[in-house]
Amino acid sequence: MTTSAFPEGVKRCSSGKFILWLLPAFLVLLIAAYAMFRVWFYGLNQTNMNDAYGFAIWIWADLAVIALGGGAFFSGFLAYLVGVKKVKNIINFAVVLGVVCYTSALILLGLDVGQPLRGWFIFWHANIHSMLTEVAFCLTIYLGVLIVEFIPVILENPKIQKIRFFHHLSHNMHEIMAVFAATGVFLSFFHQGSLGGVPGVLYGRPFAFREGLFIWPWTFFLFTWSAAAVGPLFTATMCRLTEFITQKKLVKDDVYELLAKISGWMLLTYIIAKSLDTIYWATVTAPARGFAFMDFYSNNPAYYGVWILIAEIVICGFLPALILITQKGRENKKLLFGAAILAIIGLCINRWVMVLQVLAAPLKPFQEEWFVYSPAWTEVITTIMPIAYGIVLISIAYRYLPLFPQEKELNP
Amino acid sequence: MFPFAYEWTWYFGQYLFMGAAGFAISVVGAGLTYCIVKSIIDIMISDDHAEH
Amino acid sequence: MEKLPSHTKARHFGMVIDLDKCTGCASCMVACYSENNVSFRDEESIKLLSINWIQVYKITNGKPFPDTEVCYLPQPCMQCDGKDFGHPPCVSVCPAVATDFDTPTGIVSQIPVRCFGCRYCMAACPYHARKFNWWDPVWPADMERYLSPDVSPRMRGVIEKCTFCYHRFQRARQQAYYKGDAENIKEADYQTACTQACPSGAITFGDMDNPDHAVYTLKKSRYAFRLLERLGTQPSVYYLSTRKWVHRACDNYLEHEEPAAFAGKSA
Repeated sequence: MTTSAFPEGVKRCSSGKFILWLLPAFLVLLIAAYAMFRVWFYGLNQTNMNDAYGFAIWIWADLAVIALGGGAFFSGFLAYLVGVKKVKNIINFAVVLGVVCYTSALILLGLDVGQPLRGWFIFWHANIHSMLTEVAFCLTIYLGVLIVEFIPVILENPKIQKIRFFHHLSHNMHEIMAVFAATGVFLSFFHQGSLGGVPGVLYGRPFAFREGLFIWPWTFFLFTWSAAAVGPLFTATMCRLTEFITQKKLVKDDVYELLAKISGWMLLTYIIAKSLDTIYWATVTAPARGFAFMDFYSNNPAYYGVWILIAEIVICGFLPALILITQKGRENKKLLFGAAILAIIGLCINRWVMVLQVLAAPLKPFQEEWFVYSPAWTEVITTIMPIAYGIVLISIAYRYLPLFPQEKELNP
Repeated sequence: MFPFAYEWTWYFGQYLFMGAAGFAISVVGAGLTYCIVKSIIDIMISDDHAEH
Repeated sequence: MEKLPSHTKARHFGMVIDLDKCTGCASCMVACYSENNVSFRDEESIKLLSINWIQVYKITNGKPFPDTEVCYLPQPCMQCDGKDFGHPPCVSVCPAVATDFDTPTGIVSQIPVRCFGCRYCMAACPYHARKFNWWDPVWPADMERYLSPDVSPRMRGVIEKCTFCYHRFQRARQQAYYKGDAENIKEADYQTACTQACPSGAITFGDMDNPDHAVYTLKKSRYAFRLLERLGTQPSVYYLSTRKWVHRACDNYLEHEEPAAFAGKSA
């Protein structure tokens, strides 16, 4: 009897339909590949970056996908280290999502550097005082950990399971998954934090600069906390989206509700800490350097008004947090996922502000104007690329791997 | 990264950073090696059982 | 802070630019382009894509005619000492040690062949003194023959910036060594190209710790200030101006605050 390539006891669509579904994503990937070729071959003059906007949309996308991919490390922490069993029903999906996010982040970083062939200098000639060095080390090693976490999921494909070595290997890797998860948590704490440290240590940029604890600015802790809070919400939302696309229930509602409850409380504590940080920065840190709070939110082109702060803290911070900590909010799935989407937007706004607004804000009083930048097509398409790549990888993983332990039970 | 490069400085922060990086890589490496070796042993044991 | 080797004399090179003397002729910029093999393109209208190690800004007091006043501000890399004399904003952020603070001279170095173009230093520098090579450097035909052999041209994809003509310091040190007194570098022996090119003598350069050098006295002037000094970057470039609005235009002040030189006075 031939073994099916699909996980046992689940239904999948026909190959034709599957390929048709992947076609648009492949088209985006093809255009993105061409854009990547142009950037690597002709250089960064193919983008719209300039000497004021040395960091641009890629770095924002990088920070955002890494934060959202934080769902993998925090779900791993909950499932393997704290022992929250329910989370195991979504952990495989979180790992796949993490792999998508982190590989995308590394590709974008590889695109963003002026001399990609010298990328290894960051490891070989490491300056350990640089937050970026910490990011590079932890990010790369953590991607390795994520792949190690992903391997046993791949090995569970029925065809691969027939090979005895792989059968044993996947079993043995599952056995000690807590060790890998713990390493992942350790690495994630540092790279999520270091990404916050990247703007936080810039004492020449009063919009970004924050005091802190020892060598770590407050943004270090805020970034880690926010990634841990919103990451699982992103995992849950993407899982819901997969359910919508496949028209199947894949995870029980109590799993979503549990994740939402944990994330809700973390989001609330995060946003309180973020508010305190903002108040201290606005009243002490920035004025000591001659800046009034509103200097950073006025006279700027269109989208940099003070509402961006209100949107981040109130609309996309307190509001979803308050919805998620109440049982009624969690039980109503529209409210739950509405709040999750708001929280995700809030996180993206935070990363946007901490990268792009930092560079846009004028510093020399004789240069009153804000620096303006609009991304080139090469930047836009490569920023969209992770979505297309995510669609491809998640679709393939969903089709051939047992990502959702509850799928069989929920779809008899 | 290594003491022979000019940017290396002999001080605590350097050991801590590289030590932590090395530790993380070692744990993952050791974990993987353990799994691979154990899988090979598992196959050998099950072969033994099959023979008897 | 790094310890100095026992045989090295500590110097702290710095610049004082008298803004009341600067006419905005940009000779300093031209001299710098020529001295340091700074590349340029046919199309230079977008200044944020141009490379220049010293840039002259035009600033005004913002008043209508006839009260309009103009000031030209030449701005090289500020060679910041940074926190604790040795941690300029750009140096500690470089992940590959492609830029470093030279304790014996107070100059911030840039090693283009070590730089891999992450541009973190550019984001860290509040002065926009660091420039990125967006394109391959191309000089008009024959001009390559006139490039200075003392300074390596930079390649696409790396950062470059003013080095206070460090190669001139190396040359001066070598000459002093051959003369038998390696530590005795006189003020005239080491001058930057921009300083020598300035027709109005607005730029003064030297060792700020040496009382025999003009900068030692000039930087102590009541009217001396540094650009964006309140950020704590500790620049080694000082500016002089007797005009209050110029001081105000060069650093950030809250409404009730006054520049130090004019505190409690109206000017």
